Amino acid sequence: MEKLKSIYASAYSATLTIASVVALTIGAELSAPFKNWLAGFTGHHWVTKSWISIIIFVLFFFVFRIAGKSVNELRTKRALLVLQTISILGFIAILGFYIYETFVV
Amino acid sequence: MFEILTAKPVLIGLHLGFAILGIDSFLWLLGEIVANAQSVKRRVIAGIAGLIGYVLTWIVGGYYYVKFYGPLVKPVIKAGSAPWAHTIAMEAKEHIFLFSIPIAITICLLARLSASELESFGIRKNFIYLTAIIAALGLSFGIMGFIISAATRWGAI
Repeated sequence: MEKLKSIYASAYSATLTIASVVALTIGAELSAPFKNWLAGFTGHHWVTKSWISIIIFVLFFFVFRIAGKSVNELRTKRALLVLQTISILGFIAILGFYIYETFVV
Repeated sequence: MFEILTAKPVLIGLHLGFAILGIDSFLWLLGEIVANAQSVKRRVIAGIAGLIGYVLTWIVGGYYYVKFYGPLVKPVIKAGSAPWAHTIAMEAKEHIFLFSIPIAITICLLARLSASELESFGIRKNFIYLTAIIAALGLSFGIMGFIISAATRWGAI
């Protein structure tokens, strides 16, 4: 069950990381001051986003690892399904946003 | 040595090479799971090789992107015949890439399970889908990279 707990924690932490990257990416494109604020930390907005993604993943991995005491097969399967779904939706959201920004706006 | 490694063409080559290592390793892992191969050791090696490939391509590509792409390449693309190669392909690639490492780590953790554990936990199909997703993400980055390179080449002519 220790292996399942780590998979469960990693899947939900990865889900949160992807959701955060999508929000940061679209938010920064819609707000120049926010993008500049992000760039202010490291000199480049993308480098800051990269560090944020690492911090969120590591932090929430340990949160879910500690909180997920009653992890079982079903909960792990659900966590993986959520991660699969958010990965595809995140891809569509970011690519779709930039296509929209380029050709429609 | 550092001068050679940080030369622009070498950086691009390393970025691409590590990406190929990552994609091929995850495709190898995908084959192992689909074939229901019994070797946990092989799955773990394939998963870790994939993760290492993605991490290295991230570091090398990130360095190139920040140091050279922004000041040198981006203006050429934007002034060329396909400025959308930057505003769509590059922007999408650099941000969607940030999904890869958390997914790859999850895959490495799944790779530690034996074939019988994957079956009994009922997560073998999820493992297959997630590994297919990481390989497909890598291949989509390859397509975007090709678009960016082609736009730069034709933007400069």
